[in-house]
Amino acid sequence: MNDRLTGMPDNRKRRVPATIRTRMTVVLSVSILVVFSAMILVNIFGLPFGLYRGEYRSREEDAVGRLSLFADDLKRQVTSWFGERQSDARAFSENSRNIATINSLIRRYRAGGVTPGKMADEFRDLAEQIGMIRSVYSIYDAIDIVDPASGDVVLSTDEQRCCKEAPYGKQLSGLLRGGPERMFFSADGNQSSPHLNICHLVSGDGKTGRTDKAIAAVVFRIPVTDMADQLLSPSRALGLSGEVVLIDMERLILSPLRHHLPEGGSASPLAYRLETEEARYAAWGIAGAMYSTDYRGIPVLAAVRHLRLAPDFGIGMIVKQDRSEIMAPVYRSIFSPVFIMLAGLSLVVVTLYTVTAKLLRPLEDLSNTATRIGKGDLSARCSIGGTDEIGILSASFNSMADRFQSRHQEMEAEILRRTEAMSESEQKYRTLFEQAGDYILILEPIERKVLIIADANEAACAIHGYARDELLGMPITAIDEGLDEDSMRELTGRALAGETLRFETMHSKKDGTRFPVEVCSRLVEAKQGRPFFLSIERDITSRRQAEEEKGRLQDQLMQAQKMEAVGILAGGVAHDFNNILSAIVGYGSLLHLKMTDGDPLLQYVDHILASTERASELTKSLLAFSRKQVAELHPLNLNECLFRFHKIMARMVGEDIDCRLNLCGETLIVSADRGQLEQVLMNLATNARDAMPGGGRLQIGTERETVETDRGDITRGSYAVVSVSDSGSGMDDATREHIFEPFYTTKEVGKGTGLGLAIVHGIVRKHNGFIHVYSEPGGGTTFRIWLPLLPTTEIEQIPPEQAPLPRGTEVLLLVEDDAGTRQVARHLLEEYGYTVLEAVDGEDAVRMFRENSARVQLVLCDVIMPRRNGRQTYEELKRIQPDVRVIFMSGYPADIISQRGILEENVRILSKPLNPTELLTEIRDALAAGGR
Amino acid sequence: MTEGLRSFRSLPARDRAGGRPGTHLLKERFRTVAGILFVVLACGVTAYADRTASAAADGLDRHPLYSKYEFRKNSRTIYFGSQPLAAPSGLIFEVMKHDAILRQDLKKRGYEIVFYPFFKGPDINYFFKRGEIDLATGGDMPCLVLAATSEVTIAGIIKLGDASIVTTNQYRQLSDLRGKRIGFPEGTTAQYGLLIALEAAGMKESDVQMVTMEVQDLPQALAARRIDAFSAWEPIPSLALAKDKNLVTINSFLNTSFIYFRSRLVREQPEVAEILMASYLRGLRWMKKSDRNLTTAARWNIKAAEQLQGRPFTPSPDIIKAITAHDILRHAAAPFIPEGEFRENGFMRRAFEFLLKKGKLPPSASWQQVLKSLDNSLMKKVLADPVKYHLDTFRYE
Repeated sequence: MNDRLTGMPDNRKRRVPATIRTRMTVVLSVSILVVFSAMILVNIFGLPFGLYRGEYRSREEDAVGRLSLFADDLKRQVTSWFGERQSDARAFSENSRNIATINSLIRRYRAGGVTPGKMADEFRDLAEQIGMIRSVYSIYDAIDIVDPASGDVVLSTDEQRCCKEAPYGKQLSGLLRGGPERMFFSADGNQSSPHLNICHLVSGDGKTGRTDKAIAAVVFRIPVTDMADQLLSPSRALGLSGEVVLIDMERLILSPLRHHLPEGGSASPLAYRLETEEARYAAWGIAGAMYSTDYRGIPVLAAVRHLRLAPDFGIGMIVKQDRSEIMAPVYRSIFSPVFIMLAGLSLVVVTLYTVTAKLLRPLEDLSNTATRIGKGDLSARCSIGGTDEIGILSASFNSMADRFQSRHQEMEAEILRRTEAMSESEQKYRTLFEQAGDYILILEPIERKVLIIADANEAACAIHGYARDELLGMPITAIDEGLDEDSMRELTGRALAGETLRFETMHSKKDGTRFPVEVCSRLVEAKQGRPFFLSIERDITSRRQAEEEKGRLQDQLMQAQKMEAVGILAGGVAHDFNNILSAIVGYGSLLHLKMTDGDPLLQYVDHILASTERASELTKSLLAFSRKQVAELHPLNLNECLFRFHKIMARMVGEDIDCRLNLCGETLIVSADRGQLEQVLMNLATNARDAMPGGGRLQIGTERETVETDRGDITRGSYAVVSVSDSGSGMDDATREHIFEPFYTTKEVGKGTGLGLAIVHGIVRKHNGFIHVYSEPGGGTTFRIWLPLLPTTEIEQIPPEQAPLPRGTEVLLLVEDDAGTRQVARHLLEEYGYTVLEAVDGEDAVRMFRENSARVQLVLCDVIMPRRNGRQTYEELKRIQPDVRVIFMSGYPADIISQRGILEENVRILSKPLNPTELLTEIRDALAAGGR
Repeated sequence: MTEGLRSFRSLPARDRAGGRPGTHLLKERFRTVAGILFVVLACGVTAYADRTASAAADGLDRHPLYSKYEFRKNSRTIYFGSQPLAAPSGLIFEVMKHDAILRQDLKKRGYEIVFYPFFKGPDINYFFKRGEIDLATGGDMPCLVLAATSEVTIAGIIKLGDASIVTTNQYRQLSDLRGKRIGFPEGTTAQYGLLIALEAAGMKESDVQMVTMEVQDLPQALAARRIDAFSAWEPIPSLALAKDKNLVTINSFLNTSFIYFRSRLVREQPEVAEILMASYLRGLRWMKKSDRNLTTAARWNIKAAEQLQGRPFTPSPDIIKAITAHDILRHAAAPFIPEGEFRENGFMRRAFEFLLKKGKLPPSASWQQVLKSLDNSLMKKVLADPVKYHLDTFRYE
């Protein structure tokens, strides 16, 4: 499970929620535990500030008091005991009779020559007395009378000691200053038999109290062990660990230790020094109670006393007991309450658990029901009945659950509806977003410095060549080359200000390809107020291309319109001019016919006809340029056509130009008008000749070429390519760009009309072909003409050599509104045997035909006439005679005539000016074709 | 030099100091200020010490009681100083004061005796050192300090008892008084005994709050809880315990009191010393003779104490009597100096070493001088001739 705040995995252990029963049990148990524990602790340790002493302290204080009382009591006993011992010695030593006897004794001893036995004999009474005292007071193991001068025992209860130096003699001699009474301990050189020595000096003058003349010292000796036994017997009342230790002022023990030493070994009186705190206390003469650690290292409570038994003699007394023994009752007293407490606690817990189980079962049921509802089972209800508080609570809960369930269902339905609507809307807008043809980017500004792509639709991903994941998060500058930091900041600022941005820029694809886009971007604010930019972009490559094409087409249109205007003008001029030429050509032809070969005026007529021929060619050129000249497309063997025209072209370019033909071996069938094709070749040859005034080479070739894909203006397909190459002066780029424009020429005025290549271009386009020029100054020029190949191999039959002009005798109806043309035509026809009826217009023609329908074999009719044009006249004539044969004449091309709806297609039309040969041949053909 | 100093001063501080700008100057100034402060402080301390010392000295000279004491600069007047607030010193003092035989014997020889009470031993010793007190009784520690530093003849004991540390019953041992306030009279057995007790308990003087007070003020201070405990000689502890059942004695320590003479007096006027010693011994015998005598003496003591401190001295006569009986009367026959306590490991020898260690004795203090001051011969001489010295003849007025 993740932490709700950080989103990181939550590794903490989940606590199980505690039930009321558990809580009650825990709380009560803890309370009992705490209260009882507190009570026990307070009972044992008391309260601070002296509010309550507690057993521990009471026990301690009782122990201190008890030990102190014991110590004080024992101190009194010991002091009294010592006092009694001193009294014993004093009583003996201050007895006047004893004093006298002792004086004698000492004087006798000092006189010398005595033995212990002898002394005892001589002073039998005294010996018996000290013997009796010893017997009566069994505490004394010896009573000595010592000569202080020599330090010898003069008389003793122990005869073996007599007349020998007292083992304590040195200690005794040091004590003779001061008062008559002394007490001291001596080891006598044998640590196993230390003694307490009660000493009283005997004055030499028999007077008590004067110690300046002590003559003897009476020493009552008590073994220290006996002394300890007598003094310390009450210590048994101190318990198993209790002990009384007597020490001297140098901390040497005066009584055996009750316990073993931790280091082993024995502690002999007057041989072992206590190094404990209480011993130091006692050695300083300090009395008091204290906690310390005794010689065993065990914590004890000690009462220390100093016993000043004589002005110059004191001992220390340590009454101690182990703390553990003192506090044992306290510790024992803990267990019972603890046991009772634990037992009681267990009972309470069990009872509580049982009772709460019963009491809380309804609440558990309620809780379970609530849990089930919480988990989604809205049908769950509490089964508790009754009229008590729990029952009422249960009923209220169920009622609440009912309302909740109902409301939940309503909400679910509403949520579902809204979710569906939202989903639909989301889907719709997602679809719009993803499937929009335009590229849609959602950009997020980062501190107004960087625009990050937050989202992109499929089109945007596809056009840029990135996957969506790659685009998301990418800065816009990665794909938009036109944006730098300054411009982006500026645009961002304007967009954030609410302005809708429209601009064009260059984008780059993943493969590095660049393409122009048009951008429309505006600010969109997200829910948390974060700004986003909706950027709709469109690849304007085709538009730019279209605009360029449009520009080019507009240029072409302008050019075409210009050319059309020129063409219209030329066409109009050509038409009228043709009529005029027709008269000139007709009459000139008649004159030529009437003249003999030797007629000197014949050359003038030849010139007139040649001029009219040239004029006619000119009009034809104009008409061809304006595309008014009708192209009659037929399958044509290109190679054969070129082969045949090659000789004519050679004669035309002259002998100084090497005209060569390089035809491919394949049969190239194109749909073409032979005459126009030849005109193209002728114009190209003419230009080549003009480009090689000093001679050169002209090569014409063919080849097959298949264009797989559109190449510039050359569409895909199979083509026959005609190439016309010369070795002339060539053209520069500026010239090459304009060569196909009408009236564009580099020649001198009068040397060319500037229409030749325009006508070539027009013819090639009329043939659905393409023409390209390749030239460089001084490098010659090559024209390449692509003509679509036909799949057929139908070959146009080459018409035979022209036979003599046909003649006839039929009756022809000539309909021509132009008198001159009508006359010329009539004269020509009549010359060749025809009978000609004349009509000046269409009305007249109809009248005439109606009158002569049986005679008339053929009608020659002008197309453009007033009152009734040629078509109308033809329709009328067909009503008169459905199979009437008609040949139309016009200065306009046939396609123009058909476009204007004047004539149907496929009717016979002769172009003006009328060519007699064509006229007579066509008439003959029409008459031969049948019909009327 | 001036030039050098001037040129030195003209240098940038950095160059002068060889470090950060102004460092040298700062150091110089600091040293100067520190030096001045030190001098001032030293002078102040000295002046304060002198003043304190002189105040102390001046304090006793200007003591409201002591300033009234007249010390005639002649050898015919014997000045006896003692402590009515100590038992049994004060009791013996009063007994000797009432000893008509003493006066009579001195008068025969052209002497008189003046009894001056003091609050504590160091006060007596102050005047003793100045040669104004000829005979005194005092506690072991002040006596030890006096004997180690002055010429004195310690002639006998007047007490073999205890002093005590008294506190409330919430404390059970000395270590419980850690951090607490303990009152004591300065320079007395009570103070030094407290220090010994602290040492024996493994504590330092700094482990408790030592509060110097006059001995007569200790019980009231403890009752008012201005202090948590006090160290004092009898009968002050018994007096406090009798008044407040919540008080306990947590420690007692040895307290021996001595009778001591100006050595010159013993040397040049031996008969006067003998008369004075005889009066002391006589007094002991008189008190020991009957309970009535002891009671009378106790009452004399209580009255004298009240006169001294100007307020009731509340130990009952029984307390004074019990203390006297225990501390001296049982040794009345021969109140000799306990020479054992002055032996190598004796209590007094160890106490001397302790005081030396604690600085309570000057380093020049001599133990040999202490030993030289001990003299039982005067007492022996008097005891040896009780008739001559009227040891068993009593006339107390």
